[in-house]
Amino acid sequence: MTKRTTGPAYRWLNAGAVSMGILASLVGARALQWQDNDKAAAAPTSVPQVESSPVIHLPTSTLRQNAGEDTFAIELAPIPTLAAPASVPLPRPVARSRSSR
Amino acid sequence: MTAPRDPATWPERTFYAMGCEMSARLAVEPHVAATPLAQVEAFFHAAESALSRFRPDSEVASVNAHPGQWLSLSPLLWDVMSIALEVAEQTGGLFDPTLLCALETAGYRHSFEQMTVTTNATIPVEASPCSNHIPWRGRGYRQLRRRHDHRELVLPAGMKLDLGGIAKGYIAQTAVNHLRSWGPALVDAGGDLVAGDAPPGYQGWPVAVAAPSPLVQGNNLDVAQLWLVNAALATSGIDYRRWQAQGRPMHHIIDPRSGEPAATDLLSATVLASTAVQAEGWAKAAIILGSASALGELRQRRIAALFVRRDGKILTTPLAQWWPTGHAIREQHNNAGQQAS
Repeated sequence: MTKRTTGPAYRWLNAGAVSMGILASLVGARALQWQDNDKAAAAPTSVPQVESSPVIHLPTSTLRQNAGEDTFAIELAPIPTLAAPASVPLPRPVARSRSSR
Repeated sequence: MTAPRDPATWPERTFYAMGCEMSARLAVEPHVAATPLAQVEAFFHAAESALSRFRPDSEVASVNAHPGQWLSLSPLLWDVMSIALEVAEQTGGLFDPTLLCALETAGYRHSFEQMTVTTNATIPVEASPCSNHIPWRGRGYRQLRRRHDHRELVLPAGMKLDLGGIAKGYIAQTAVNHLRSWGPALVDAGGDLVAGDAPPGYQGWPVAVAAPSPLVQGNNLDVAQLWLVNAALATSGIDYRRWQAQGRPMHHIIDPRSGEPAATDLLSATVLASTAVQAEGWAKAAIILGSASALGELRQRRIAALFVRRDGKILTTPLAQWWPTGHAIREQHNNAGQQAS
């Protein structure tokens, strides 16, 4: 017999104590699909549109069909990294990576 | 032409969750940023209540309390577990989310702030709550069974979950995905950084890697700086969460090959990856491997990483060679680094 483990905390989540957007991310969407009408009203029309940086390559995965077969192979792109040194000096850091504390 | 706005001046919300200082920053005007940043904090607290091993009413605690039974997991825990197991596979098992028994045996049974106010606590020897006389070798995440159709899982006796850093990374990543709807964002989850798009006028968020505290006697020193955009930077280390138990130094990174705190020449490892969970997993794997093996492994995988050894030496993989600031910490090295060994 399968036991359910969702305790009070998770039921609290389901009770809607967090926004629909947050809840959407909780229920399994790794790529968040924001559907809340409130967001449309709150979303800024002047969100800065930044040109994509030349120094980071986003990872992509390619699904390829194996020749002559009904099977597929996933080709993973390399993990993104800086492709070249920063072209301008960095301003003061806004955050620091360190062991958890 | 005016200079772009200093990224440090964009709205930020700081809070405490999951035993760590957290912050979320959003590059939009304050009246726009307030609501989504508050939602991010709420999300961290809510997810912590489900994923923390230290909360007796959490879902993870419930799973750990029912070994040998098929359990139906919430979508959240199932998703985090699935990603954690993916990273376990990628790292050849060096990262393993099922090592809580070993960690508790080493003395890490309570949240760190409850253990002590210092980083060199002495933990009294107690009977291990996981002690069941099962030999350590042969355990690990591969013993865990799952039924994907119904999000069900069963833990074998003697196995408990610790999603710790992986859960933190997952939540931070989800938070950035959420904030992305409003604008460029950066989330700092206790030292694990996740960035969305770059702030206006910059090629990324300017971030740094802090020197491990034993080497700088608690002072702040950045050993590296880089731009972070649409990527994650995680640091794992034995410089902070460490204590004394059974007459010897302990820390929180368990080597799955021995079931004991990793014997390593590294104080910290910082890894850049496409997601926080990947970065966290590889940073832990690097600590376990030690500097020589970690450099080879991560170089081969084309992962950008920076390591700080106990002797203060900074090492990078080729893709991170321009990160170091050039600040020498060798001169500031003191015996504290050795005490962590």
